[in-house]
Amino acid sequence: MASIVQPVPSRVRVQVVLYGADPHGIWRLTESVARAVHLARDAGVVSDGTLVFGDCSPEPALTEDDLLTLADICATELVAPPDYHFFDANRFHSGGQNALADLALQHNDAGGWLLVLNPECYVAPDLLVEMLRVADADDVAAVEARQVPLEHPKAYDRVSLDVSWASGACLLVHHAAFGAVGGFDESCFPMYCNDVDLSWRLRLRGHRLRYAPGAAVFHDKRIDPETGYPLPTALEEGSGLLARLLLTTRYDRPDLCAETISLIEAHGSDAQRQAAEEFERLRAGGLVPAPLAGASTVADFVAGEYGERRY
Amino acid sequence: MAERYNFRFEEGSTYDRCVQLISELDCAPDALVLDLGAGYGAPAEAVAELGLKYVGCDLDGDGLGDLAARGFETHPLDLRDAHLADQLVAIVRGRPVAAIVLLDTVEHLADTHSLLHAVSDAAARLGEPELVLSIPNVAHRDIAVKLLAMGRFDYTPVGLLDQTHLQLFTEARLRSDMERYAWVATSSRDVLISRTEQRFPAGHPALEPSTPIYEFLSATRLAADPHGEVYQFVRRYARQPHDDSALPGTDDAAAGDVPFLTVIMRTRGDRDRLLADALLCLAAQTDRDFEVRLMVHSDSPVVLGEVAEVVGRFAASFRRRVFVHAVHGGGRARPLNNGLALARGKFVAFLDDDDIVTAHWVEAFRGAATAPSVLRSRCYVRSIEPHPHPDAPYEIVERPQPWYSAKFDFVEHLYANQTPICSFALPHALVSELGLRFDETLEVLEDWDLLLRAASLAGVLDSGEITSVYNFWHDRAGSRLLHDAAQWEQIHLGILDRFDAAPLLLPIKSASYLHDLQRRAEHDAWAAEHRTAEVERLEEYVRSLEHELAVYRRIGMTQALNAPRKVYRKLRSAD
Repeated sequence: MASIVQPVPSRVRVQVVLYGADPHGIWRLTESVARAVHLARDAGVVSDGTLVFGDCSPEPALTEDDLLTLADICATELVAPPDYHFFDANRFHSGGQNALADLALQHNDAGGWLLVLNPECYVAPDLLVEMLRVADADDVAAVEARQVPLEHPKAYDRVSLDVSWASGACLLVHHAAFGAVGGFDESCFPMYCNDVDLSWRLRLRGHRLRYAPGAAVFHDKRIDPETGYPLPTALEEGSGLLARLLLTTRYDRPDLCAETISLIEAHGSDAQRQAAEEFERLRAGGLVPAPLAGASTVADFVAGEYGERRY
Repeated sequence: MAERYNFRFEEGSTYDRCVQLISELDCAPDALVLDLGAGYGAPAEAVAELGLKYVGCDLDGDGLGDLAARGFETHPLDLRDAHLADQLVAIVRGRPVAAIVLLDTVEHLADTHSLLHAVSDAAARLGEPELVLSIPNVAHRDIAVKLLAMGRFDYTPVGLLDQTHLQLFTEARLRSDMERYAWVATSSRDVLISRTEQRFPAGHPALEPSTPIYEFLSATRLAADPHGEVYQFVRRYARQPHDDSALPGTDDAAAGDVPFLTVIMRTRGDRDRLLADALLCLAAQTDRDFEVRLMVHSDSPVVLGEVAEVVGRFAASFRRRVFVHAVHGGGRARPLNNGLALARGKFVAFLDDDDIVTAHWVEAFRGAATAPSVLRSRCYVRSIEPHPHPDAPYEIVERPQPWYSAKFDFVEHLYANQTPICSFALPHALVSELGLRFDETLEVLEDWDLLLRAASLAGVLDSGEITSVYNFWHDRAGSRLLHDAAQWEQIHLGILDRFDAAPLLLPIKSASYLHDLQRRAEHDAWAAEHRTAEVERLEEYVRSLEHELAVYRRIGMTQALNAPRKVYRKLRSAD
């Protein structure tokens, strides 16, 4: 079993990847993160909390004035101004997060925990306190927050709080463990299923992942009138399907891969068909990931989902 | 002065009530009661019986002469005099003053403020005696209904619209004018008259109880404030001088701009995690132009402190817009009504501490607010139950489901509520100007009752957005589980009974709506009748087949039975 030495108080680096974000939304997010860092520091569980943005937008999403505003917001909570990195290229979520984690190494800010955070989030004041409390075991490499207003339906163990995989919307992951598995797989999973893949690779190394029901994060999701679930984004239909096919390949489920393709051929949308065609091109070119050894011990494909669902 | 103002002192009259107010004062024997604009001094003898010294002051000689002949001290006095305060001090000559009285006088003067200023100045120099005042109420229901329904505003020789009145007063104006000079009401004996001299012309439908137009207008007026049947305000005031930093009516938040929305959130303070989630949803709103009135329904200062601590954890930009208030006594509606009294927003919305809203909850209300109507968004319901893990606020049993109608339908809402409390907002004017409040006698359904009354008056604008999630507790205390189905039904019918007591204002296009409803009902009745005939015909056919089957059995033709068996089974299964 992998073991992580976790000094207390911990260092926490909050990483947010942007793509054309609304400045007001970023102000709100910054306000909430700064507050959570402040309270976690007061509680003695965080020694140093930093906020860093990686911007994948074609043009900088934040102006100099925006950054001054963010610095003022942080100052009210006695937190250092956020770092801002304009990548000048779309590195997508996985690439952006990896780059931010690598920058930490370059700036001697490695160690401790990374909080991978979606830009449409507003964290609860006690989020870090609660997540670090649940992370307080040597074999826990990542902790997932409880999403509000629409909780993720994925199951978790009602006693141990262990999960099959942890959502990347608000994910506390140990920096060293993240680095040891190579971070997110930005080539196969630039956006979708990158959290599932990261989670299962962490578990393959013997780490546990836990759910922190006491740590709430507001994730701005709107309800689909038809399903009662969050509305899918425009990209989700095609890119999500391609990610699923790659995931079934990496985790050695050719049966599910074939089944998915046949279902798409029979019932899929145009976007899904295009994704299936793209997968076949990648497969013909030998560009799909090879199955991981021991994949079946961590991969939970259940009724078309990843892991069991509670409802 | 005209003889028509020579009123007699009668029990229950304005003068009697005025004397009752004076009798409540703790004052020295033989203290003066200065009656300004005394006329014929109808209360003089009754005041004297209290052991006080009545002093009549007026410009009119007839009245003063009458008073003097009855043995009372009188002084000629012009209430418009620029040196009125000095004159009053001179009249008193150092004697103790119990009260200054202005009975049916203020409305006869063109310059109310000069009079009140002078009386206040005099009061300050005379040891701050209290002021007893009577004044007619121009917002009496009879005047309001007549003006609205008939466009008539009739002055009369005496009464509410006395033709000599130069100023007209509502309760709000009276309060405002008096507060301007630091007079605060300490007691009242208002005269209530249901049917006044303004009920003319006789026999007009708009003025006769039992007609729909009268009942509707009357009910609307009486709901707006408690003064609809007040004929005269009869009140006693004491001066409470203040500085500008503590104006009456201000509270901790009133100094700022009026927000778009006031969110009234009620909690008993016994589920911190749920409350924290609800507050988190508000902190994350895309539109932050709102204040939160967090009404803590508990007598425990400890609980109040715990709730304040939950609020205090949030960032300053949010927590400074959350005002925590203690609520004592009453039922489920008490915190909501207390919150309404504090609300400053242009619209008012409501949340319970276990409600969840999306980031565009406020934004969607604003988007729908093209008129001062009730704003409504869609609400989904999810089933939850307690979770065994201490960190988890609940266990979700079922994902959000669309239990409620997508669009507001008034008639459908009369049958069953389709709009939980977390999914609508009221225009503040319904509260401040039309007196809308939750009915505190209702144990449940108080929100449905209020929504119907609000929707009837102001209409409803749907945002079309799904912005809230109502948590339906499976096996824990919630209002649904605290009362059985029979109680719910009883309360439901009770609310309908009250709606039945007055005409109901229906939304625009209700005529065709009701027409279509009746047509559908007739069609359904016809269809049901038709189905009944068809069922009878099929049953007759089944009986004939059964008879035929019995015949075949008797003669042993099993092979020949296959076809009728199939028909028989098919018909039976169709039952």
